Amino acid sequence: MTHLGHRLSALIDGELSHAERDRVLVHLVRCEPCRAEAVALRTLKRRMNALGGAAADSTLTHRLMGLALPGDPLVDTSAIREPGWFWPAAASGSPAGARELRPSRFVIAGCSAFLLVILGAAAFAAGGSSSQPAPQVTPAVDVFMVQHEIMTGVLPVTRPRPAPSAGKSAASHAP
Amino acid sequence: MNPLSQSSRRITGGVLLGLLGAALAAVALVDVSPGHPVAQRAGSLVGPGGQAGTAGSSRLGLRLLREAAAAGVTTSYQGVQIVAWWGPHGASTSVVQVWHERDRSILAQVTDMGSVPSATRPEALAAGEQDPDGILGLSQQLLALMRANYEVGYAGPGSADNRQAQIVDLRRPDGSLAARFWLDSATKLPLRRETFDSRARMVSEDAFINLRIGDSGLRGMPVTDVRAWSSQLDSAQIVRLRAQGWPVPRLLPGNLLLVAAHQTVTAAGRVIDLDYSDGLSLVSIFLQRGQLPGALPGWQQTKLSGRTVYAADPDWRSLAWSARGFVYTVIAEAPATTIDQVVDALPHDAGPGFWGRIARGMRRLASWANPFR
Repeated sequence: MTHLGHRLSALIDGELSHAERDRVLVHLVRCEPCRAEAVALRTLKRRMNALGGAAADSTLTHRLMGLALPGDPLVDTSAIREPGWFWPAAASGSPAGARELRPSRFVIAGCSAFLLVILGAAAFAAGGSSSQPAPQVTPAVDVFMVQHEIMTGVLPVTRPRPAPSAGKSAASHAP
Repeated sequence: MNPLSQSSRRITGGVLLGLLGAALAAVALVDVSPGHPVAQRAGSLVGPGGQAGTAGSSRLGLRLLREAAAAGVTTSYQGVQIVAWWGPHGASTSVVQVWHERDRSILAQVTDMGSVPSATRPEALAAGEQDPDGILGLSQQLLALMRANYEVGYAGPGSADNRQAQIVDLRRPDGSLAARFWLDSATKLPLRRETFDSRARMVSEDAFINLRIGDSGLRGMPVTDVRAWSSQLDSAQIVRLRAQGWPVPRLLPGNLLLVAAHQTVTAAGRVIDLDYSDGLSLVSIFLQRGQLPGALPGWQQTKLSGRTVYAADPDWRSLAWSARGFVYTVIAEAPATTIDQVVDALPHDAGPGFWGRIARGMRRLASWANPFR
């Protein structure tokens, strides 16, 4: 039985948070039995993985392993970075290259998204008003009302309705 | 039992009874408010219509209406009419002096509301805001439309303005009462007309309260220089208008058929007047190229059938909006439901939506960035 209990298998499965992982790694550096059990668990897992399904392409495996690597260590883990113990042997040579690629992708994607947002906002603002400017017309409702009444067969003998003030000017254009 | 408790119970019971009584009184008051007697009266008018629909009563009703249309042309008369209108947002009442000289148009002059009998409704507009819409009159053209859209039936004798009358009903195809005419038994002139919407609520009531038959009442008849727009559009001109993009529908909801079209030219540009009728209702649509200004003083912005429009009257019979490069002004003598349908059927500008606005903006940005434009 090790000191770490279920945290050891969680470490092997990559399920620990950064802080917890760091604490476990510090312990492993100092504790030989636990480190031995970690090696054993790691070996067992690798063998179990080797049993099922077709072997994945090695390049893809390396890339996946590279993506699965944790961030910059909070403590110096160089002492335990030995192939076959914690870091996969196949991945140990390549993660640096993978890490160099990722930031550039993020920068490109971020810049593209930013430009799209700016362009969309500009298009939204530019597309706001009507595209067909038309002359402004105020209905001469008093003139229209007289015409409407005549259509009912009645000639009004009445002073004009007090049309809305803006309509007065238009109302002066009687036929 | 504690006497104090008994007395408090009596007080509580009294208060409850009082509240109940007040509530019943309030309901009764609401029931007799200006908008509601309409429905009551309409309901009471369903009875005589039993004769409508039979072939005999239909023939008799049609004959009476034809005689009324002819009498409206050949009979001189003078009188005073009460013209009342109930809209969804208020009511209006006018008192109108009417003169008709044989073979001439009816002259109508709105009189001051100070002369209105006390029985008229208090919601009447100020005199200057009234218009003589709804003056009693029949024409052969309206009669033809009535026959096409309504079932005419004779509903029996009656009286109006202290004169013997014959009552003629107009019913919709579903049997609901659309209008009732009281025609003078002696001259066949229309003495009274009531119109109803499809829910049996009264829409308008036009009645003579003082009719004098003959030329004697025409002394002192005023003169008017008001004339209809001289330029009447024929079918070919209407087709050309449509080809030029003017929205000129032939038929509007409520079986409102295009019966006349006129045009005039103002400083604001060309104005097209389109008149639609089903024989009872008349809806005039005035079209102008352009758009409404951002603010319309004197008009009230409102929603009708979910559309934003401007209303110039408290009873919403004059409505305006602009869409797709045209300004629409609708003046209607029709039930509120019909006005709603007409407004809904005419073009309105819908918002471009998010992606539509983005696309329009992209096109504009591209055109601005184009150095060869």
